[in-house]
Amino acid sequence: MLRIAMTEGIYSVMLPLSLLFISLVSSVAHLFLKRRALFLNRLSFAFACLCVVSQTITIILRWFAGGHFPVVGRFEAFFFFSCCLVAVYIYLSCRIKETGLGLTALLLMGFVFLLPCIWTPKPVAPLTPFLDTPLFSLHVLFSFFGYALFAASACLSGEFLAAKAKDRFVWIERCISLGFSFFTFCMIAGAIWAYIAWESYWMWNLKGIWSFSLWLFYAGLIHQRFISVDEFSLKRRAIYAIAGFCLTLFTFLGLGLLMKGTHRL
Amino acid sequence: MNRSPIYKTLRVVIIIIFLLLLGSLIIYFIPETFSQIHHGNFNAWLIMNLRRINLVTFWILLLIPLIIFLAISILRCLFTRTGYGKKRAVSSLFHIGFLLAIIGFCLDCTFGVRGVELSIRSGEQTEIPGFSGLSIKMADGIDPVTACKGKSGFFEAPQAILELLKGDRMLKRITAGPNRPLLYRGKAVYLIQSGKRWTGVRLRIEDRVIEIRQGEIMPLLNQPYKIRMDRTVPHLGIDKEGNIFSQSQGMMNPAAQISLIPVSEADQIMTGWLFQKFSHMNPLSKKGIHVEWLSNLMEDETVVHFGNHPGLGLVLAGMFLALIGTIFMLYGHVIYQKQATPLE
Repeated sequence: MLRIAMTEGIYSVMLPLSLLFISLVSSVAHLFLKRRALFLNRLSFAFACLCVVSQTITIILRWFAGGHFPVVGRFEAFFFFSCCLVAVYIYLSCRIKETGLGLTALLLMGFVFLLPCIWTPKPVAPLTPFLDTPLFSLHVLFSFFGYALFAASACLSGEFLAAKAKDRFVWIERCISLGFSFFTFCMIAGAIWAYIAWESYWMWNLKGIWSFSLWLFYAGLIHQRFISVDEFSLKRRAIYAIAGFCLTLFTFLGLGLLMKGTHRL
Repeated sequence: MNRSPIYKTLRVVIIIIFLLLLGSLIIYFIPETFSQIHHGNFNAWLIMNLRRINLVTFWILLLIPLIIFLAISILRCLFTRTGYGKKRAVSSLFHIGFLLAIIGFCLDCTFGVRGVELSIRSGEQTEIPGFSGLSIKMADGIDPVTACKGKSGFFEAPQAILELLKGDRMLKRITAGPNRPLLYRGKAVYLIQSGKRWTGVRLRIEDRVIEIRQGEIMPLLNQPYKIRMDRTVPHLGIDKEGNIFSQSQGMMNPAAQISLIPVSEADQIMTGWLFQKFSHMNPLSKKGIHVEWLSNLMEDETVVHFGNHPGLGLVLAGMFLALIGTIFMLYGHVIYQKQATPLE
């Protein structure tokens, strides 16, 4: 009974959502209350960890139920992306000494992506034969982690611009580099999969063009750091990181939700 | 600091992104007005065949020099900025891998062959056109009914055991399916569909049972006629003009068009339809010949298509190098920490 509830039932969303909400509230409180800052920060971190654990359990249960990595359809895509965002929050919380506005924004983003899962149909969907390959799982896994890292870079950039927190810049760069690497893995896995399934490494459909543009954008941003780094260019790079995330959001969501195409999300 | 090559690269990147996104939106929203940049042409030119220059439009022509300039610029950056140092070998690995993959892709587009389609039956061997003496054979061994259920049981998953042969020597044998083509030295055989196909009918004509397939001619014993099967329709449908067509591939209402060919050339050929459900209605009954439709002849049939990809090795090697380069870059924090974060 519990297994079904955690796989397809409302608990599969409500439990991580509640945990994430507590984590988010603690994180926001931590920003404003200086006296109990350390406690609130740890509370936020602990609940974020619990949220990822509960989400991972649901993902594993759905994996066993469906026989494939559960990233098919809108519910699973949002659910997994939210899990990636919270996982990146946990990673950065471990590495950054003083968490701030940027990481809270990342947590909020995780919450925003998990929220629509309440109303989205949750049955485990079967996989079409063309998607039934480990390359598809790798493609999605890397792309979502790449997107989550781009989101983190945008959140930290926002903090950098708002609070002039220069120590955040190292992590903006690392998130962009790591995200770009993951996105490159995603593109390579996708290209090999497309070749063995459709005899074409690349399809110049709407999703393909926007994904290529996104990859090119971050490639350009990574190369830009070799030009010169001064106060102005740091600010400009932070703006570019936010713009890059807007491009990411449109490539991930905008194309799937607003336009018709074979590549749904 | 030498900033010109990378600086130009960035400008080109931004222009290319802008053009790509603008073009993709124009293609999506107003494909008819801008029919000359329809995505079909764009696909055909970029993927199908680089030699089909007549499909190139102004928009694509604008992109190509930019992409070429970008490639040159990346090469310049690669050598002027990274050099041959040990620490910088990692980023060189990624860039070289990426360029190798692009060269392989261009080789494929220019010299490759795509999409030659063939239909083969169970146990049949056929030569592949343009593949220098290679032939393909569909071996027996998979029950198509089981195969079609697929792993999840919801979708059809075509499967077939394919053998690639050179003369009598078998080069490779695999169970092909979706996401599993037969690959051999840059040549690929893709399974399009596999399953049972209706090929003919078993009939009782007077007191004799015959099996006749599409296109075959059989003599009728003690009759001055031969019988020929012209066409088979698994799911009979008749349109407004009275033409017969098949509504689906399912064996819902099978019909076969047959011709009675007189042995003597003086008589005319008579053509008509045999229906499984109404076997008394047939062109032979007019001649006083009794016909009974006994059963349908079904055969395993597989549709495959072939591709020749001379650049496949380069593409895969390039991707592998780029992956290795990326993995090293992930661990090579020292490199990007020193270069990227002067404020640290």
